Amino acid sequence: MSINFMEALKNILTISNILLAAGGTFMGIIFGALPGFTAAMGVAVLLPVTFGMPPASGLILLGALFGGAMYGGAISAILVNTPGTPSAAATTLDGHPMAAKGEAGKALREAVFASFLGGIFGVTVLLLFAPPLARISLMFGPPEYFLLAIFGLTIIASISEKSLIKGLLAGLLGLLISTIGMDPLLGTPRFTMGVVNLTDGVKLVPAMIGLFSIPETLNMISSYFNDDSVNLVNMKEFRKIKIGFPSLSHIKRHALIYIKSSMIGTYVGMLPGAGGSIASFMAYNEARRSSKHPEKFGTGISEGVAAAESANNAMASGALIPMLTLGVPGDSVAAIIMGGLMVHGLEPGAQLFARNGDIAYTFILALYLANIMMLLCGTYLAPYFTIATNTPKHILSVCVMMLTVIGSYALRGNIFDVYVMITFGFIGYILKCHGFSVIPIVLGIILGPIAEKGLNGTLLISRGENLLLFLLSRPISLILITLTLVSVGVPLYRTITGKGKKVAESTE
Amino acid sequence: MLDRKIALISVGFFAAFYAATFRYPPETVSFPRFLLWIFLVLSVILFIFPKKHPDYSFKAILPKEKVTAALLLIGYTVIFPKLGFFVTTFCFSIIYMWAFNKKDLKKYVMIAAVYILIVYFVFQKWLYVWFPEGLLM
Repeated sequence: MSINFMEALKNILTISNILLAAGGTFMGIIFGALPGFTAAMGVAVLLPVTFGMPPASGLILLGALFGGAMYGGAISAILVNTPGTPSAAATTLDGHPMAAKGEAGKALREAVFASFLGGIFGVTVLLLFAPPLARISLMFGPPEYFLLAIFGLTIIASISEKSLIKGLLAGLLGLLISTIGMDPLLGTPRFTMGVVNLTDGVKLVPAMIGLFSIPETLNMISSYFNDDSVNLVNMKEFRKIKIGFPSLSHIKRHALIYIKSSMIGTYVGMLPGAGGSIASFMAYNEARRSSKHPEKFGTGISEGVAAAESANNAMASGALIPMLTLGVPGDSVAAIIMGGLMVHGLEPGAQLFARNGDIAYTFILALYLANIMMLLCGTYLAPYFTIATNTPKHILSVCVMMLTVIGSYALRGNIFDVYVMITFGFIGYILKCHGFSVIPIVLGIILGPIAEKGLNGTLLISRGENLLLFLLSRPISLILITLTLVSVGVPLYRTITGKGKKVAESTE
Repeated sequence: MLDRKIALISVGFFAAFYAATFRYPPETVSFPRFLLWIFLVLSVILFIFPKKHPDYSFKAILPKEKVTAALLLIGYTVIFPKLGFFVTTFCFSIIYMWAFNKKDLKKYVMIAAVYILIVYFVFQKWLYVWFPEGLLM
């Protein structure tokens, strides 16, 4: 580990990579600050920029984008009462009332500092726990991988959606899409409809770019006609805002909130599909519950901003833990970053730390660097990022649309990938309009080959034994089966009995 | 009810996909078939227990501006491999912005030109991604 760690330190401390981290954070904050742009969309459209870079540099850029976008959402949440990303929705509850009371600088200071601490906490957990967890994955055989894929899908479908059934259907659709192309057992092309380009299967990156970007771009055009004036900001007023750093006594007073919210955020991030909005609302509710003056929450107090922001930035790193160690992404952005890893020929899981430890550690260290950049950008430039919200949506929309086309084409220089991107974009849009989430589809495409290989392997090693009994006889499989049943059973029970709380916030 | 229609479409999807599996050796389609049966069960559950969507309307899903944006995008991707990436992209971005707001044509030309330059330097010069040249450029 120490050799890899030192190598990673050397990688990260090059001028070009520091600049990449700074640029990535800056771009991420802009994406985050723009209402209608999600972190997933930002990372998806800029993913192709990393194709021509060395893997470590590409991952540095993606990590910095992710961290920046998670914080950027808070800026517009506080200043214009419109969360830039769904994760920042909880920040508006106290952030905007603070700004309305003339404490915009204080709210922005709290947001950036809490985001920084949450981010650092999450990355530290990632650094400490990812390598040992990756080693645990070495104990996994085909049955465990098959069940892990199924568990990943069921939990993402059950947590992130309004409808469990639709979430599961979307996941299955993704799994079915993953079966297009060469079958892993005999090498026979399946479901290609005679299209030669599909023999290799549906390429993940164009599909992801389409699913995450096209629906948002189309919605952006609609919002241009419906509510564009709402987000216009007065820059003269915002330029006067002073942010600075919090005092030591302030940090001491809020220490418990920072720690608790960061822990909640990291934990929620590790659950596939839970996402930033759930993390920040959970942390916000916990801060209010344990506060001596819960009635003040929602009226504009810094504790509310601190809880929401520490949690959503800690979530960002938490979501990377299952992705880097088991190959199961914790949220949509982690799924896209995983796509980026695969494009560079890197395989998430134990092998990543064993074979490409220097790159894995470079990525983790880059997240530290991104958090430092975010603290600096947020402290000195936060109000200026709101300029981006003044850009007319039809101009933003065409820029994003062209980036999606360029990005899909850049993958292999093949126009077919552009058609795949557009097809998935329109499918994603129609499905979203009918109450489906696109995240389970992406997860399905990623986990499909793992599940199929796992199932084939299980059938081989079970040698005709009863499959269920064979799976139940293996301890890790038993745990995974139990977790899968709980992840489906609990929301199903809640739906039937009507006891469930509505988790309406989408994680996208 | 909307969910019932979705369930019926899902059953149709199941039938079409399942029928397609008969074209391949059974051992290569065992996994897709396993998935399809679960898909069918879930579709039936959705049909039996639908949720209400009071605010659903087909017009809201496909308003004029979204259809325009989608058609422009499709047209652009069909044309650019034939005519060349840079010329088509330049024209597409101006037409796209103009289609939604017919005010600042000069501004749109400037934005399109700057965008093309950035794409050219970042992708072609820095990352060595080559775009189709087509008939024009």
